[in-house]
Amino acid sequence: MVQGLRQGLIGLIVMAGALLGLPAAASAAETGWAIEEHGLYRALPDVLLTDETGRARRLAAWSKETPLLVTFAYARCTGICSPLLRQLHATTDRLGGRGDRYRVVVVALDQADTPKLLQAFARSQGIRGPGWSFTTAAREDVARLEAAVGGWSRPLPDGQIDHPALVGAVREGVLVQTVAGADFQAPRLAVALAEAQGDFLPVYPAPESDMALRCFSFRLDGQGFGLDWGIALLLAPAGLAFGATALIFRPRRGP
Amino acid sequence: MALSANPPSFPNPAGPQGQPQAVPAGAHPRLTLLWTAAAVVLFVAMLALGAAMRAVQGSVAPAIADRFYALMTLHGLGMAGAMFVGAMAVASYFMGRYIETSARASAIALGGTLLGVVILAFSTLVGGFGAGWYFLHPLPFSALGGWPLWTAYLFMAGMAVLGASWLLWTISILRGVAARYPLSRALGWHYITGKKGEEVPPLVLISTVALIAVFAALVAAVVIVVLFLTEGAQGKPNDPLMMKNLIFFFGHTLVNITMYFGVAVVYELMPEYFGRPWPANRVVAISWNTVLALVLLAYLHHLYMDFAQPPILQAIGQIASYTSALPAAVVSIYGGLMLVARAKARWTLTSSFLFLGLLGWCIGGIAAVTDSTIMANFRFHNTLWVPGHFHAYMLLGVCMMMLGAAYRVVADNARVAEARGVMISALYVLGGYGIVLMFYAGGADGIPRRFALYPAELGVGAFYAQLSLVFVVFLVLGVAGYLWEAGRHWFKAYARA
Repeated sequence: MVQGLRQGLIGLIVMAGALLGLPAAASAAETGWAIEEHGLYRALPDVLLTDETGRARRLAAWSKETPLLVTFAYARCTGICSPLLRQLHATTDRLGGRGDRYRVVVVALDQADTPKLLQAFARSQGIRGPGWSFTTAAREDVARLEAAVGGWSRPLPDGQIDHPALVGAVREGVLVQTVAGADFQAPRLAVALAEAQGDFLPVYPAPESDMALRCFSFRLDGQGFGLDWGIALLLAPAGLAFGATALIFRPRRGP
Repeated sequence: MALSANPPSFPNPAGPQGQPQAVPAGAHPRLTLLWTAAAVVLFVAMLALGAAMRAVQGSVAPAIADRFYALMTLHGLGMAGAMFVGAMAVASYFMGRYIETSARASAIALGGTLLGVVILAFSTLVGGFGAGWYFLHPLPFSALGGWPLWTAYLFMAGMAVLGASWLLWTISILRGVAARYPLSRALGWHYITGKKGEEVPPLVLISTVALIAVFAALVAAVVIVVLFLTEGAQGKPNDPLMMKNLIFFFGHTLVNITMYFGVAVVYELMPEYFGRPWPANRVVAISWNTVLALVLLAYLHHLYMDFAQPPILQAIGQIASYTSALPAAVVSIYGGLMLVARAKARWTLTSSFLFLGLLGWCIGGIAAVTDSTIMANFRFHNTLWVPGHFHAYMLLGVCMMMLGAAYRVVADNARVAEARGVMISALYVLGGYGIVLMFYAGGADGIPRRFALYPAELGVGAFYAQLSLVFVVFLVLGVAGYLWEAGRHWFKAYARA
């Protein structure tokens, strides 16, 4: 038994050594991925976007009218564009409010695209309904906007454009959330939308907010804290346990 | 009360004069067999959910990615709950050698547990509730479309049923201890003060510590449920910081207590396989009383990242984590190794699983204490290191202890000789350590935990998950062997008990 254990342990150590070498090899091949934290809470370049109706609007003014989900695609794309747009369509359909409370703005990455062409591509993917805008912009503006959201695009030898799947949630010209990847789920996009619409995302409520019980009271100038009534609830379980133990073990008089 | 079919070579002293006696098998064998069967079935089901989660993370089963967080919620809560009731059931069974325990309370708790599990399974698997076992405020009621509101209420109802059942069971066992020992004796204070007195088996001492702490944890669970329901009814928000403190007070303490029940059974049974005594003494008493004094504060290390938590509590969290874990662990591991070293050992499925479980508890515990160090936590927080350490002390620690002890209950009551189970142990250990190693490697690589699908830049996380599935196969083979070995005698044991 002990001999078997020893041999097993040696085997595990050898395997561990082999495996620890793998991450470096795997991660070396993966470079330049989009990062969701990139550029958060910064003003986006105020680029001029022209939609499929021919109307041209500045991004800052447009996002003051309504929160925007900005994403990037192009009509000849054989890669991530289709899954990204379909996921965006399915998820926003599920969450509701598209067109009423926010818009999805698709920016063409290919200068050969027109807004109509981009719209036709999207329709070929089954994307319909209100709240979509398919736009083009000057080459430099597209590059600046995409970089500000945390992405990039570069031409490939086969004529395709390499770019990450990105959705930027924009409120009043400011990037408030970025969702990277095409496989996001509804709650993730719902958080981005909530922030784009100016909803408060609860992290820790401000001390003056209406609350049933609070365990600590904080000074607004950041200089220390005090105990509040809620602390009694924190201490209650231990107090009750020790009290009940004393009661259960109380000395009993003999018969 | 049946006598053991596997006579101990060195039973712990049970009598008032500390004389070794013919040791009875344990209390309420039929109920214990039902408890352990329920725990083992739940363990296997939760294992399947865990494997499904790794399959999602490894992009092997992306079709169920939408269900990942519901599976995670049930897996975490179900596995912790199954091990808690399993370990407490075997501990109370063997405590029956020394104290009277209530069959009625145990039966009510078993019924409540089964009902609670059904409710939790419905809220997660059918309703899609996916707030995690920790259901941090305000997530259950703020799902943003993730799950319907009724699932949160159902989840709270399931928690309430479990909490009330387990609280009743805890009180009944504590009453059993109190009927035989005064508190000072049950906690071994006479060893500390040097006064002469009745021998107290370590099983009773450690279980008493665990029962007092679990009482506190379950009261915290009740408070949490009441606060959530009050908020749901009134709409007046609770303090998220207070809720998080309460939730981790409950969860962290419950998981620790589960391990203590497992270790208590190891203290009780291992002498019977290695021919040497493992009695309580001053060092054992001091270390486990230290646990009682500080384990209720150790949970604070879960709040290192909460900027609103006062810094003094963060410092207390680190100190309590070290002082509650290290003395008892060092004493138990040292005692266990001294017991086994050069001993005339009787290696069976039970003794192998108990000993390996003790090692797994130690290995996972070292990683846990490391993670409770603020400087290390700063790096490891919410990486795969965290599931690495808790799978080490659960899957390779308390699960092995519980499975080993449960097998002993079956073998004793079926009156059959215990199998050696070398292949079962080897497959379980190979699979288990492989799974844990993949988590640790992911943590060392900075791969975040709780990702259903890894984005491309974290593709190595998917690679580790795929490798995990290979080790899952070994673990499943080991567990299948265990089920065959224990299951084929279970009905005979139940009939003869």
